[in-house]
Amino acid sequence: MKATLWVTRYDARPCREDIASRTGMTMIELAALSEHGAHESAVVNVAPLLRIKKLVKRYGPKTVLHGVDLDIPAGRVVALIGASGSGKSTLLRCVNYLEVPEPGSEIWLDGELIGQDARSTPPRLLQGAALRRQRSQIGMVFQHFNLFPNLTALENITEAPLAHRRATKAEARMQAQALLDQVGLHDKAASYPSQLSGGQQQRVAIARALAMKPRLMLFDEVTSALDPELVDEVLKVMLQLAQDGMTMVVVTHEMAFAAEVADRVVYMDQGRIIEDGPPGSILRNPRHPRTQAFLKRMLRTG
Amino acid sequence: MSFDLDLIVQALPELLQSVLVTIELFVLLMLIATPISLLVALARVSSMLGLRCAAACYVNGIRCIPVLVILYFTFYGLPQLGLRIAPFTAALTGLTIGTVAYLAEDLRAGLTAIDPGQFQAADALGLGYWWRTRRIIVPQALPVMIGPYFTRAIVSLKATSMASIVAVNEVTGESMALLTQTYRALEFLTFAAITYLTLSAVLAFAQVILQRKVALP
Repeated sequence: MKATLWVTRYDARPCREDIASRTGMTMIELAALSEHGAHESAVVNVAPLLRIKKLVKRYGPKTVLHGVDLDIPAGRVVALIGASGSGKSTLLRCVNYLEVPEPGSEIWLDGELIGQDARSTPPRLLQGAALRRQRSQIGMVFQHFNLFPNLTALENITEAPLAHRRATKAEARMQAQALLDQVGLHDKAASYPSQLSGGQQQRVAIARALAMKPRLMLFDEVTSALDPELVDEVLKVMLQLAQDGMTMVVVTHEMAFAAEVADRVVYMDQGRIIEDGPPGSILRNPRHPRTQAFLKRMLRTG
Repeated sequence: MSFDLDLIVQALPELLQSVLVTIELFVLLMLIATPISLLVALARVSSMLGLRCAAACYVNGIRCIPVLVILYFTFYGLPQLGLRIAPFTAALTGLTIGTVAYLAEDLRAGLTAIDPGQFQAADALGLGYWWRTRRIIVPQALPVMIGPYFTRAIVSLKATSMASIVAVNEVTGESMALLTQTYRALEFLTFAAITYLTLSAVLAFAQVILQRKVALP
């Protein structure tokens, strides 16, 4: 049986018609704004799906994130670029509290404070079930896949829905099979990670992250550990996901991918965002000298 | 004087009975010590400082005391505190206390061998601690644990001979009793040695089979 019931569009971007009706702008004006890189949702002041406020992270005496602010509206794909050590991976890991940021930092997902109890002052760190529920709304894909080697591809995907009691075993398996179909691995359900290529493993990892129907997907250099010929199959899955309307934050060195898929490119340097805009302008006409130097290096090597 | 097999044949009922006692003591010891050791090992790698400290104190304290002294404690010491327990129970308790300290360290080595990425992936999916431990961590640690585990099991099997000192008639105790009755050492000590050798061989064989079973695909 071909299961199709789970493969659907994700959180829709605020559609242009909707914004036009709310702002009284004409569709043509909106389209023009959009082409100039303005964000439609900013125009109508829709709260972003992900809001990062004053994010600070230190490791001992070393500050790796210096009060980063970043808003990402629903349905957007943001590429996070920068040299290694610039803090982009740490930023990603702070979003789902794999790394606990310093007090005063705030991560908001759709109006909900992540990792902290907003009712207490000062906010207490969330633990246990409350944090687990929040994390389940944020899918994460890692550079080294981190699939569970003792479980099959299908079991890797069903694990979270079963742990969260979101589905019966049969439902979870059906959904997992549909997700495997979606990432082009319909015949790999019974394979163990060690029997799959890197590209296949990473696609299973994406399916695993999607199984909880997350609001937001975080990608941490997901193609960096892959052989060059396996990169495309993973990027294709991500492109499809972006087209389906998933909100994504993608830490990447794939400039071509950033140019093609991202709505926005954010350049980080030494724990700060120093450039942020549509891919066309950042990648082709970077203003900041550091961005220029970085892109020049990337073009030479990659 | 030569090796007199007849002596063993005559004493066979008592000797076989003592083999059963050894097996019973060993099986109970491992059945009790294994889950406790796993919990102590998990405590040793826990993120909770208090738990980590308590487990470290236990392990480092106990493994610095000879198991024999611990056995004397449970056999002679506990009754002094008003706790009357049978020799077998006293031996089992003492051996468990000692074995847990060593076994927990063996199992901890398996837990720390796991790629930190596995913990991160489990956390990112919002899996709970016990779910993660049961479904992800322990199954991956088993192949690493199994060698040291069976080595420890064989050491513990031989350690059950110390129970003879606190009046448990397991193989060593029974052999010594027969030795003092007959003044024949070689026969009964050979029987005891062969018993331990055979039981250890069974364990080593079990290890080979289990190692194949828990190997990661």
